[in-house]
Amino acid sequence: MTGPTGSRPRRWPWIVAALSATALATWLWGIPALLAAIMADAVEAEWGDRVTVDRASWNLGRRITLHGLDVYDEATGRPFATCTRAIAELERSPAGGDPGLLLDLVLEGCTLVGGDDTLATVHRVHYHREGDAPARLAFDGVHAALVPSEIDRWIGAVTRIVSAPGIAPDGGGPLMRAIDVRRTRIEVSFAGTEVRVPVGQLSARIRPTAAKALAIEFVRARAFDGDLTASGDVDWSGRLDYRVQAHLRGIDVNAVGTALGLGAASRGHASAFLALRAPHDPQHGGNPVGSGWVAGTDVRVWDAPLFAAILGTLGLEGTDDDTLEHVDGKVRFDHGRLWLVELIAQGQPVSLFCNGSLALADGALDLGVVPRVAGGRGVSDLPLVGEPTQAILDVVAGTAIQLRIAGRIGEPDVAVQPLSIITEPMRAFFALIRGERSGN
Amino acid sequence: MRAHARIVATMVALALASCSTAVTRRAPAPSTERVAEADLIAAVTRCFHDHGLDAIASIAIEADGDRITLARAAGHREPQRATRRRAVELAETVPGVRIATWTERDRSR
Repeated sequence: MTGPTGSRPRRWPWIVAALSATALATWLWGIPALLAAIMADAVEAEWGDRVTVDRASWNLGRRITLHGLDVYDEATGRPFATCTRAIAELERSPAGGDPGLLLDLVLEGCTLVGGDDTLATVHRVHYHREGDAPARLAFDGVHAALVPSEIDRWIGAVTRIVSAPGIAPDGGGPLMRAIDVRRTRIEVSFAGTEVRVPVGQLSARIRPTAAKALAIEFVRARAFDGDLTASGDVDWSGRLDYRVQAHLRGIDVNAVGTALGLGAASRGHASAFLALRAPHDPQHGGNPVGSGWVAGTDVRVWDAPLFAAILGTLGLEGTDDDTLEHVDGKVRFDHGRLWLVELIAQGQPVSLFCNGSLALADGALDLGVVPRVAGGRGVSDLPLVGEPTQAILDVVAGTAIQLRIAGRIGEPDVAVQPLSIITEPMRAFFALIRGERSGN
Repeated sequence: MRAHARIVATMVALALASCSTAVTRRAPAPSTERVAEADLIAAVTRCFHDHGLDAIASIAIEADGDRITLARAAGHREPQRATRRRAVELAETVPGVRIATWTERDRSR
């Protein structure tokens, strides 16, 4: 076929264009897809979990970037970790000794999943491994929500992370050196309650101590505007077991009030300690068990619903200057409840002695409070009390009252109950004192 | 006068303390041994706190029945001998503690 002038048309520009388009398409889509598939297979082989990668790119040097990395749980078939971008740098180890592979991996924009929920988001994860040496892992900028009764989901996620390269499946290989956590914020909540405990500026080191055991060290954080230090360990070689010891100093009671709904005008300072263990008994509903104590000074909580209800029942009002100078008590987590054990709060306008508990499942209160009204303050006419401003006399006269508190922290239900005479030895003691005073 | 004031103060304290025998809703006995051990650990740390031993975070405490073992917390320096001795002395004053010992950790931890 010939053209109008009789010359043969050139086809080679079209061929060149077609080849160029094919090359460009290969470069833009084909190679990245192939690279993504190769990297996904490589990570799968290394980690043992199914992995998908949306897209990958290579800078023709040491760096490979993966986009849209998902790691799947073999048991459920769902992703347990997702990552927006992963940047891997590979090279041969520096000279000296056996040449090995140096892998420096940075993951950005990660999400950790447990069951159907997001456990945590992580701004940046850094993994570093050199040859056969133990790997290091660092999490930066973690935001997480923790419900203690669901801690097994967290343990499951952490164990998968710890079972990364660096630990042989049979426990015979070198353990991962450490997992550092920095700039972390956790919100601790208790199912069925409105309690929210923010723990910020948290840093910690998690150190594998065996194939299925971790030590949690160097925990530093801010909670309730005070300093939190803690340590613990976890072992899942058999039945899951863990223990944690945490010490809080310089707690701001107002911050506690905000977390527990005690009222915006609360103030005071306190220190506290908790030693918690895994429950190992289904009666605890998955909640940890343990004990602790709290010690507070100059605490003012009279605007909080619970304490306002106590004052209201006694016909008292708390002024701005009225504080509980000393608050001391023990706490215990047991039988699925938080127990207050011999909590004594001494101050104005009333001192309180308390035993009781709060159900961890739904926040239901069951408290007994014995009030002692400070001298010189007016009170309503409560016939069971007699002369309530004379604390000793009302004991000697054989009558006392107890406030029974049910309901919840934000909506307490206060009722007055009489108490029987306290103890015979006490009666004898007071009789002896009365006898001495009268000269008998 | 001082004696009477002391008697009155004692009576007030006893009155408050005696409330513990009368107030209901007391916590039941620990449900398991590990709760009882946590009670003991908490009591020891409270003793440290009350006596100004400001090293709670750097001392790891373990309980086995009525035996308490103290050691430096992992990653912390070994406390001075006087601190270790004081910690053991205080721990042995806590009701329920029969014996307290200090164990030195190896340096690798």
